[in-house]
Amino acid sequence: MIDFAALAEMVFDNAVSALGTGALLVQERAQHLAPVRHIFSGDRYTIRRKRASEIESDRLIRAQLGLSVEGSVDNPRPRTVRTKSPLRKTEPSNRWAGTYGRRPPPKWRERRMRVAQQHLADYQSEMASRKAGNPPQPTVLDRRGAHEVKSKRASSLRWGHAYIGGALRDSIKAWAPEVSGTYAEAWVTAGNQDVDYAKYMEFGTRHAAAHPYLRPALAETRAEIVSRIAAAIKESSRTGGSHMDIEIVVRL
Amino acid sequence: MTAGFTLNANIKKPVLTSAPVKRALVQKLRASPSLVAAIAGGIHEGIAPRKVRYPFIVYQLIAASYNRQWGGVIIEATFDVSVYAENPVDANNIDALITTALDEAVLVMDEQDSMLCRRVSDLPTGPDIDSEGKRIYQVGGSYSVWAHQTL
Repeated sequence: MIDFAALAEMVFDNAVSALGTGALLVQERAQHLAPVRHIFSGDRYTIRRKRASEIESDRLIRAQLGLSVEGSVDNPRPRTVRTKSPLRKTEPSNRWAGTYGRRPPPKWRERRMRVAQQHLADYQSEMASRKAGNPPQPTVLDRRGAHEVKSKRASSLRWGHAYIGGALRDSIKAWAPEVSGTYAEAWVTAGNQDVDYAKYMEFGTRHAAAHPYLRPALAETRAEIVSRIAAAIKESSRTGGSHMDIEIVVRL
Repeated sequence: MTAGFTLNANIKKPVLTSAPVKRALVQKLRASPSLVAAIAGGIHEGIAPRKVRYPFIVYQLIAASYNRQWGGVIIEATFDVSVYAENPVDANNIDALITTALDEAVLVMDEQDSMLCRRVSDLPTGPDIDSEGKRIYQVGGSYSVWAHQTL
């Protein structure tokens, strides 16, 4: 005898679980799309990597000079540093611990914030110098970056660390699915008390064009979410030992 | 014995982007005389210049996903179309005109077939203060546009 009520409950639970995974997918994609301000002036803190065509064009010159090809045995890349302790299996959100095995020391955060404040002080003294009529000198922070550091919008807390920029990105959060009877919904939200401009970035204002990040994330992951839910239902009905015709309504 | 085959180079056509869809959307807006008469500041993409007269329309592409199927590709594009006006009545009236022009409209595109153009949601936006200190009302909606291209 088949307990259809228990079977339906198991199918629904698995579908809700897949819905939660889908919300995490949207969160990750939205975090990737979320605009992060460029707050450093110039290209001092950017890394320019060589293109493959440039490496190829340098190959002949290096051969004439008796040098090996870049990245070869004679000129190896830096070795990957491996920690002694094996990587631990962690929750998806616990990315830091999964990568490094432990939380970063607080002194890193202090050092980072100290450097940011130093950059701000340098920027302010440079602006005072320019007002006094002195010729302009380059600064590490640009005008926007100085504002971000001064207003403390730039220091978003993540794993006890302070990062410069990315407050909006870090405020994007996928919530666990809420179940009400036979209805389940999962939310992905952006913004909080400190990041009150999340809505304006998504929809735009009179002064600034929109930089949508939530809705494109949903549009890009919609098919994946639906297929995951369908796969979860299919799997649970298979393990339940029965064949059922199930109608699923997914509204995204 | 020799065997051979030839490839028909005309089989593979490049996939058109969402640009023709965007162009068709704006053409549809401009084709409405009552709407054109109501907007003094014109239609702009992304953001309007600073000294544009109110009211005006701003549209922006939000997402455009490509759904490839046998023999063709369907572009599912989402656009935001907003009205900026100095009073809420104007903003809502023009938004209604936009909805009349675009909702269930058939867009005219080269090499693409209009499958769907529908208003799918309102934008949760409110009044704002512009650079001259005036209160500005932003009202609009999201439109889902599907276009099919035969490859």
